[in-house]
Formats: sequence, structure tokens, C-alpha cells
Amino acid sequence: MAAVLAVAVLAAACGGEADPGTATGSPGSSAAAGGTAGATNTPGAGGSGPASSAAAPTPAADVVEIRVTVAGGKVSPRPTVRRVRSGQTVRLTVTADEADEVHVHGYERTLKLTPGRPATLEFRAGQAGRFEVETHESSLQLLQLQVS
Amino acid sequence: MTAYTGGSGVLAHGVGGRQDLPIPLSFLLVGAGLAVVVSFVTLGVLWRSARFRSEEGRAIPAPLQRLADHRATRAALRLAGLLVAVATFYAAAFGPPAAANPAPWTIYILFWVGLVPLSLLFGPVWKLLNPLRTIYRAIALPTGGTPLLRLSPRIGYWPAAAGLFAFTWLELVAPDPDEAVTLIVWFAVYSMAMLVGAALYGEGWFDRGDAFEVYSGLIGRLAPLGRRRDGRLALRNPFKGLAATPEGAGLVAVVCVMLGSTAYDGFSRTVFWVNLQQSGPLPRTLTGTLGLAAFVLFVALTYRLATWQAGPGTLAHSLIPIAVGYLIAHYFSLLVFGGQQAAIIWSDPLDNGANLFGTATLTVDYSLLGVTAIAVIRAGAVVAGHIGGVFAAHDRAIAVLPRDRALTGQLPLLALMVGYTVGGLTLLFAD
Repeated sequence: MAAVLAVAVLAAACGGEADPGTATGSPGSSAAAGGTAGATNTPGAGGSGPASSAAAPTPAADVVEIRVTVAGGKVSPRPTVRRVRSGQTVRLTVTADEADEVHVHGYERTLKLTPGRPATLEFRAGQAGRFEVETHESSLQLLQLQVS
Repeated sequence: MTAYTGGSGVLAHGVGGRQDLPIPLSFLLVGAGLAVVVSFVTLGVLWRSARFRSEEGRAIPAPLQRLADHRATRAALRLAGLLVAVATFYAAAFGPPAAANPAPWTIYILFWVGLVPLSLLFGPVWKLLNPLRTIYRAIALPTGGTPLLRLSPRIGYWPAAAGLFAFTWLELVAPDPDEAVTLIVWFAVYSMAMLVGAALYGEGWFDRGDAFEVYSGLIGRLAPLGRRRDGRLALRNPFKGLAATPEGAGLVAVVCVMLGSTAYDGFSRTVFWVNLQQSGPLPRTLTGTLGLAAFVLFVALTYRLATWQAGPGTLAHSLIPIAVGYLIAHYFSLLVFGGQQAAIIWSDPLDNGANLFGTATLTVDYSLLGVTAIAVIRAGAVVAGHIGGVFAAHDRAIAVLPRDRALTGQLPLLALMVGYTVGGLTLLFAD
């Protein structure tokens, strides 16, 4: 009898604790999984994340900020695989020393580059896969976007 | 209008916008474990005398065979091959640039990748469709097509190996593989080479010299449908078809190009290689050429070392399933997704707002295949190819090796196959 009561109380306590946890915690916990990305852009994500994805409200409304510079035919930072969770917003800023065009494969997004001026492209990463981000004129791979 | 904005580099790796995610580590480990276990179970426990030597099979119903062999059927297939080739050339010459043009999609996906499942199902299909063979027949018709020279057996499959290397170089290394100009130049040179070959050696040239006929033919050895010695089309055990692969000089080379180039395709996408190409000491195309050649040579060298006892030629067919496994693992999702894009672009091939097949406004449906399904198929294809290779090699080894060395003699090749499989899975797993 006492044991049953204890279990019931325990279950209720757990349930009570878990309920608010899932309401606010689900996005929190999924953001924590990509914490490395979230940590660098907390203010930005809080401000523009929900606003930019207002049309498609997702639990993971955080923004992954990626900055790339192309100078003298060299890409910095050197091309790597940037991991993003499906549903996150990618904000890609590219600065190049020559006029060019950036192409995000698969998502088929392009970004015109004028010499010396940072250009920014923002899109929601929905489709899972590996996508190369390249420049058209100089044919340089900037990074590989891995959405999973 | 297509979704593509044109410009070079869209098809920097041959084709397609989306690439598969790496397979999970658990798939790599399970796949590698399976490969090892199956290999040694095959060696020690399974059959001890060759089983795949006869090529008989169950004949298909006679009316079906009459239909398949009918002159009208054959002519229709030749006409279809020729029409698609002409349409592709026309689109390449007069259509929009790069990936907005249907030509690269048709060549790299529908043709090159599509030949794999078609050949796996129906056998050497390219022989029936090959527009170059058709053109040769038309030219040779008045003269009767008497060959000027006899094809030396020492030449064998070597021209096909060279052609296959040249095509994979075009797809994986050439600076602008998706540009119509690149494609037109490559295929103009290739067509001339094939037609000159056929003019010298007769129509039989295509059987051994045409890279795509040989490619389709070797994959087609695994088809459940084949032609028996008595001429009947028959359903057969794919392993028996495989074991009957005609040996010849250069066969090992062709298979090594198939395997090495597919492995290079996976490797060349890693950021390690991208960085080496973009920031390395050598020009990009040279780095790529050396990389591709190194992969092919590595496969050739390790294979020769592993088969010195039985002779490389006699076991060459056993590499075909492994190569096919690699091909499926690397390209099947490209066929599913890129094939849709090809169908979309063909509705508006000249980018002038046409909608010939009503598909111009569609978009690629990526939901056809889930991430997990893709990973299972990719790893599964490599492991299945390995098992097929081990079975084929084992069966041949016990047939040709002396009894006392039949088991130990195949150890090096089994070990090598395990190596290829673990290597192949690692490429699917690697960044």
C-alpha cells in the first residue's frame, strides 16, 4: 500500500517535473546537442532566429553562423565539414577579394559577391545530406554543409 | 525555368547537388565484421568442389524470346539509342550552360549510372543501344564491313580499360565536367576512336574496345538473364554467368579502373583531398589525375600480389561483384534524385519555357529515400559485393588450384577482398 503510494507520488513528481521540461526543454536540449554552434551566437539567435523563421516555427529555431573569406585563391578557414541539424537556420557570410558567386549545392541557393564586401545568405537547412558550398568563378570549395 | 542558375562547378564531382551522409560507425563495424566472417566461413566450411562452371539455365518461353530477338525489337532499341544520343548532342550544342543543360544529367546519371541497374537486370544492354555501333553499321552496310585487320588477342580489353579511365577522368577530374563544350569534345574524340577501331577491326571491335559496352557487359555477367550456348535466353544463377566471363588481356585492368575510380570518387569528396587540391603544390587537375591514377594502380598492384598463385586473369571476374557493390553504394541515390532532376530538365531542354513532358515545374522529391535507408543500402551493397566476390573467387580457386593448395592459395585474395570492403566502408564513413 505504502509502496504503491510511493510509486504513484514518484511517478507524479517525475511527470510534474518532466512536463515543463518538455515544453521549454525540448528545444533547449536539442540546442544543447549543437551547443558548439549555439554558444557563439546566443544573442543573434535570440533576436533574429524566431523572426526569420516565423513562417515555419520549428523547435530548433537557432542560427548557425558561418563566416568564410576568400583571398588570393585561398579559402579561410580551410574547407571543413560544418554540421547542422535539420531545421536550423544557416547564416553564411562570405567575403571575397574578387567578384564571384557562391552556390550552395542541393539547396540551390546562390549569393553574389562583390570584392571586399561581406555578403550574407540565410536559409533554413531542412533536407538532410551533405552539400558542397562552392564559388562559381574561382571554383573553390568553401565548406561542406552536413545536415542531419 | 530550371532551379539551376548555371555556371560551372555545379557538377564539380560529376553530378548532383546533394551527397549522402556518412554511414554510421556501427554500420562500418558490422559490415567489416560480416565481411571477415563470411570470407572465412566460405573458405573453410562451404563447398569444396567448383559449382559455377556450367552456364546452363532455365530457358524463357519461346514467344518471349522471339519477341526479344525480333528484328523490329532490335531496330527499335537501336533507333531509341540513336535518338537519345542525337537529342543529347542537340541540347548540349544549343541548350543553356552547365547544369541547366540536360546533357550532363543524361550522360553522367541516366547513361553512366543508369547502365548499372539496367545491365544488372538484363545483361549487356549497351550493346543493343550503342549509337556508335548503329552508326558503324550504317556506314559499313554498303561495303559489307569486312575488317581490314585481325584484332590481336594481346590487345583484348585494353582499349576499353583506357576508355573507361578516360571517362572517369572526365567525370571526376576534368576542370568543367558539366560544360557542354567539355562533353562534346570528349565524346567527339571518343566516337572517332571507336569508329576508326571498328573500321580497322570490324564490328567485333565494340565487344572488346568500347568502354561502355565492356562496362555494361561485365556488370551484365551478374544478370539473372543470359544467353545459353544453344542461343536460348535463359534465367540463370548470376554466379554462373559471372564465372563464364570471357577472359582476355586487359580484363584485370578494366575491373581495376571500375573499382579504383569509384573509390577515388568517394575519397575525392573528403575535405582532406579538397584541401590538398585547392591549396596543394600542384595544379588542381594534375593532383586529381594523379589521385585517380594512384587509386587504380593501387587496386591493380594489390590484386596482382594477391593472385600470383592462381594467375590474375583467371580470378578477375571475382572483382566484378565488388566493383558493382561500390558503384551501387556511391551512385544509387544519385540515380534516384539526380534522375528526377534529369526528367525535370528534359521538359525544358533549351531553357526557353517549354514543358515537353509536363515535368518542368516539378522539384526533386527527396522524401523518396530516408537517411537510414540510404545508409543501409550503401553499406549493404559493399558487403553484398564482397560476399559475391568471395564466392566467385572461392569457386574458381578450387577449380584451378591444385588440391593441396586450394585453400591456402586463396587466402591472399580473401584477405585483399576484406581489405577492399573495409576500405570501401571506411570511404562511406569518412568525412
